Amino acid sequence: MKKKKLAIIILLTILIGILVFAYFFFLRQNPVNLIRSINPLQYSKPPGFLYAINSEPDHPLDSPMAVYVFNNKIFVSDTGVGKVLAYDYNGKFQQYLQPGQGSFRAPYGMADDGTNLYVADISLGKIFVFNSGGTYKKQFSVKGAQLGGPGGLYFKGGKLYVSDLQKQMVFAFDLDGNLLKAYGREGHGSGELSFPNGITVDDQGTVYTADSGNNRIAVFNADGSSVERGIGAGDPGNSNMLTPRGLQRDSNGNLWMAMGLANQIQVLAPDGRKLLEFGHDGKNYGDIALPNGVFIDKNNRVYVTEVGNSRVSVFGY
Amino acid sequence: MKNKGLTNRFRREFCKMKKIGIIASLSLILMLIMTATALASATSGPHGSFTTNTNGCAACHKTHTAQGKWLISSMAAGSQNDVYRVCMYCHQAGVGSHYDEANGQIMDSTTTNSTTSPSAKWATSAGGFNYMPGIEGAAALTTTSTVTSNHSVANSNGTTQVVPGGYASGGIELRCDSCHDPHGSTNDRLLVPSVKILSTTGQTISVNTVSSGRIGIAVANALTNETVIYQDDNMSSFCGACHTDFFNTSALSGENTSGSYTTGLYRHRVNMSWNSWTGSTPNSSSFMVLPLGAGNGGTDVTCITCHFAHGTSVSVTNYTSATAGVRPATLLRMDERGVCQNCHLKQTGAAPTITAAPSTYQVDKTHLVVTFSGYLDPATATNTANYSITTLGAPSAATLQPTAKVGKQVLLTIGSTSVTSYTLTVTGVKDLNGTTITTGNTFTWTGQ
Repeated sequence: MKKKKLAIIILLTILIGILVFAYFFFLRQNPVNLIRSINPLQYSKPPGFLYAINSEPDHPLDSPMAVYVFNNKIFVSDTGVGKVLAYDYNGKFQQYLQPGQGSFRAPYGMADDGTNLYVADISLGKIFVFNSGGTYKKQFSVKGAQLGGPGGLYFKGGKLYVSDLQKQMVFAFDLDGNLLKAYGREGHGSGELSFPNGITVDDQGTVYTADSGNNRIAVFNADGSSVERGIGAGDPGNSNMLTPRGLQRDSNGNLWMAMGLANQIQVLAPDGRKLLEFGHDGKNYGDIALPNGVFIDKNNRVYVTEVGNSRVSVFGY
Repeated sequence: MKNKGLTNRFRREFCKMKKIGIIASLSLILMLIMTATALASATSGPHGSFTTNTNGCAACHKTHTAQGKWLISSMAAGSQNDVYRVCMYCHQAGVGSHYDEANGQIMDSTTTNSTTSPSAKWATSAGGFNYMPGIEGAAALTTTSTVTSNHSVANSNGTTQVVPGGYASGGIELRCDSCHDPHGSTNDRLLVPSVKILSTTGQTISVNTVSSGRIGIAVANALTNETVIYQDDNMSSFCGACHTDFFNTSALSGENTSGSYTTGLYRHRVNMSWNSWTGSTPNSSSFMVLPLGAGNGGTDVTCITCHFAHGTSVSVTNYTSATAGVRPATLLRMDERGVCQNCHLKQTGAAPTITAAPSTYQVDKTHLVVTFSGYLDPATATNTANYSITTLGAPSAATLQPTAKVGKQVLLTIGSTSVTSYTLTVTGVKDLNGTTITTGNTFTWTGQ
């Protein structure tokens, strides 16, 4: 009787062990990272360098501008080679994204609506839609507007937000491509933009965009009105904001920015307080040279594209 | 639950890098904090805005820990040209500037603030470093050509490069700031007043780019379909600061030897009227399309007449020399030796013809790209009356591509097509030799 019970317990334990192993194996996730990610992001110290995705002869990188993690794949858009590269979650190259019959020319911002991946191309003036496996579906056709140079993309609340580098404006479209709202205009004053790059939106519909030419984060309320001076312009203790490009809100609502010409990543609270700042130039692992894109995945890994080193560095806690 | 082992390992790894990097980052932070403390009036960038916001200095310079000469803070030292990467951080793909030098295009600035007007991309006057427009204009219609020859500013990395007409073993560390001053200069292209090169004995010398101290360039229609106005012939002395032996303005330079770096060779003259030589009949001035300097009433040949400054996408394939092999495209403005022909017109050659599909193709329902076998006379090529399409009639517009003056392609705006057969007939269009199209002047295709 006891032997039979023991045998059942052992068999059940083995079965559970196999199931747990299979779960993590087929999802290609490290269970240690999953456990560690339960920790909130820390702002008292910078994340440590984990690994880098380098340029390889068969699939080179030149100017990686944005990085996006979706469906356990890492997507990197490169305006130098004019391609979007897809890697698995460990950084192993899988395929190039193919936008229908043609090619990308200057692919940049990426976003997902839960099902599909959207990729903006600045030079073509178009946004392309792929499924979660990286297969091309269609173009995102806009109505009631014409795109100039779509750069940053962000999806929130059923809307696709687009920062347009040629028009110097931010657009919000519904999923059918109808223009819902336009924010900003070219210039250097309040509510004005100069090369808006990264873009993110909070739960209230407040739009934050990396106003790189004005060295600040421009902020617009959901109704389109602008928040005076944005973040970074004149904030005490934050005078070193310089060409913010990549921008993302983390799970705590704080803003991570890649500041290219300063070779740094900065984290700000929405009220402008600086929480964390790290990085310096160089080509060693852990250095950050001309960062442009920044992305935080659901395991709290921080991805940074380095235009100066033609690579993507991955950091974590 | 934390996994302490892995966390400690990362902490140790990070500590090593922290020691190396702490001094650099502290210097940077300290210097940045000591500079302007308020970004009260935002800057439009480092060029031309130094007086209003000195944070622009920190964009490129480090005071005490610079990795590049002239205190360029630089990054990725040792692997790529640092200045190129910094400049391209803004001047590529329109992310930081309307001038996209990597792709040889200007992102039109006249359609900012409008949700509905279409945006366009125009070819820059200097060509591109990696790519250039094949078709310029509305974004949906533009095509891209690969650059076949450029000034290789991307890979200098502290070493000197050979300068044709200069020091044989390498005359200059070629960078963006070899020719342009990001702090501003007296002309609209930020060209520098002097360059550092190696002398005939291998010493570093500073050479003035113009004796008068100013290169006169003005830009009309800035940041859209620009026109460059050369106000003197000084582009020749600018290029000649490095390409020293090629800068020869003497009469009969083709009959008398000259040169400091390489002696005993004959040179093509510059800074004289393009049709001033004796010996044969030059081309008609109606067909002279290459850019000229302002001297002699705006008729002077300068270096820029035949060459782009940044890069070219022309093809030079038909000439192979026994010693040099296949000759490179050498930043020329026309395929093969088209630049010679535009002035010298040694033969009129065959009449132009339409090049068949896929070079001639329908882009969308209302646009057709027509490629011809030779460079076209802009006046007749852009005359819509010279084109007729069955059932659609004449196009409403015809633009020469890739630029308004030099090109073998015409972009036609036509009536909306349906899926049926159409035939285009071209009459009256001339090439730059002055020969009118006769046979090979039709194109038949099925519409979209």
